Amino acid sequence: MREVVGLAYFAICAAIAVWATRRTRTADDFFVAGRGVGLVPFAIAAMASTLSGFAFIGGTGLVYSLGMTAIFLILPAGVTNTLGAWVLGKRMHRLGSTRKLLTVPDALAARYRSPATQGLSAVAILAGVVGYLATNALALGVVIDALFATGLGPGIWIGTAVTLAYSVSGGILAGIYTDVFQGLVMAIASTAVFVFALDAGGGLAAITRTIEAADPTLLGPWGARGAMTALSFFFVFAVGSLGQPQIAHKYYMLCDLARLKWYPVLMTVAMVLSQLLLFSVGVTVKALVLRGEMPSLASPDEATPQFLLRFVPVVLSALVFAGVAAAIMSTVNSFLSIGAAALTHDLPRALGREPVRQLLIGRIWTVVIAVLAALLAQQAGLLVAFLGILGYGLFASTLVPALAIGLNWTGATREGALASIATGLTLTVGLEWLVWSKKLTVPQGITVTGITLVTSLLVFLSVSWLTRDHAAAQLDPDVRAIMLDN
Amino acid sequence: MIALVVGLLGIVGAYVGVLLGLTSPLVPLGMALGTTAVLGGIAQLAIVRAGRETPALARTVRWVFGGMAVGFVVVLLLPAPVAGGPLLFGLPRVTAILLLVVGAMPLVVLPIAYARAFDAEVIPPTERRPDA
Repeated sequence: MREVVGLAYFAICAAIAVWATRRTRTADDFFVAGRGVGLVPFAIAAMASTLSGFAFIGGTGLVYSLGMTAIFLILPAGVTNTLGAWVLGKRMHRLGSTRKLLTVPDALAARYRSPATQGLSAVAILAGVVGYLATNALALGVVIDALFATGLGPGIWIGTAVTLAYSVSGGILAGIYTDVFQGLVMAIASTAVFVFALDAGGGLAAITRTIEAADPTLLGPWGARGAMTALSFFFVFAVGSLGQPQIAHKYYMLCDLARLKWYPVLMTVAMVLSQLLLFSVGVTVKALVLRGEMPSLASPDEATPQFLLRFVPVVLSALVFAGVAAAIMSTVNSFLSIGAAALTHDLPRALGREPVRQLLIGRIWTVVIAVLAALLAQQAGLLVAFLGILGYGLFASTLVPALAIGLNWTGATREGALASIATGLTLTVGLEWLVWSKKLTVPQGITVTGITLVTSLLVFLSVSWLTRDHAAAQLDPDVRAIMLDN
Repeated sequence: MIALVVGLLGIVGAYVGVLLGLTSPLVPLGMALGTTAVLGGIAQLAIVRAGRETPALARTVRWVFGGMAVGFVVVLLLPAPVAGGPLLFGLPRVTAILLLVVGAMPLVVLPIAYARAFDAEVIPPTERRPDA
């Protein structure tokens, strides 16, 4: 049954991709979906590309082992869904339509009149993209192996080939519309499993009583790791969300700015439904293991697969596996598009060359990046683990100051933007490498991304203040008008 | 901008406190208040139109992020839950209060406030150009 649902899922993705590919004729179609995406596909695609397989597997494992501490990874969604539209939506969309921008580094170049800002931010984005893609290619290989028993190595290549097929032919246009289908699969699977999980545990109150009898801190307000770790997660995932390029660049794609009105409501509903599984399965499995109704898990990441095997009808468990594949593939497609755009568009512009034949070259780079990520993913457990940690932190520390603050503060300067991007890039790579190679230990309560994000923000503000005399001259009149709503 | 800078300094102070091994409740308090100040500061920057604050959105920012700060402080000051203690919505009461104030309240209020203020304060119909 799992194979049938899996094949049906991939067949529907392929059909959507064929439909979208026929509509992909220009670089605008390939990189920004022809700037013609409506509200519903926009919101569901944003949700689908925000959530990776982590929401179904890794996140559940974290709730199982850390309790409420892990909830602080998703709790910021209450703020971030609206804050993104509020802080970035209108200005990114207007900059995009006025200047015909394709990428997030394009927006930085326009804001600061600086090719160097475009180049440096493209380098940071590429580094983060490769990390994200390698870990997601590995995760997709695991899911395909679970569905079709292919083995991990072939699973990685099959998953990469399927995602690549629609990413390279239809670009982000195909990605957006497969995201809609994939997002719906994720939301339906998550909601259905939520009901089964609470039922299997005897209701939330019974689950709580079982867990608190063994360890009252797990479901205490801050969970097993305490208040500082929980609050650090909250800071990183609330503020850092404003620097995620796979969301920021989607604002270019909206067909009409007035549609932004209901985007936060729709995105919030989609996000809440898709994350119900994460909490419910995590706490239910914990309670069932403590009661002796399930054997202990070999690893926390086994929480979702073991629960599905024992407590959920086969059809639904197959739908969840399809949901995991959907979450991963939608994320991979977004990052392939962003990475290809950095190489096709941003780096040539930063080096003073006008990009040519962007549709063809964009497709070629999409293939190259995907193959590179699949090759890295074959080195499971070594480099991939390090790369996987890098992505979110790199985007947060390099893009939040220059993009999220810079688009809303006319006092920001090019020097401040460059200094903060360079700080975020070097500090994130350096610190994460030291921690990963066990040459540095970060005390409990602090996260590396927290340190790098707060440092790059302070560097941005202080360098901009020191060079404040340059601010007005670095702002083109049309950009200033967009920033000030004049 | 003041809220943003003060918030960032609060977070730096909390991180320094952890690095120094301080166990004072002021350490997580600094982190909680710093984080809400940074978020409120960024939101406040984004709702200024033509140099002026937009009133409905400004009120929302103050109430939501102020409410979140109060929620964090109250939960930090309350005693940790014990086994067999009172439950609310199936969770320990303190945990449920935190989730309601810091998670559910902004989750409901912010998108609705944004939609309600959209036509008057975000993009008035007069600003809806064909290219935007």
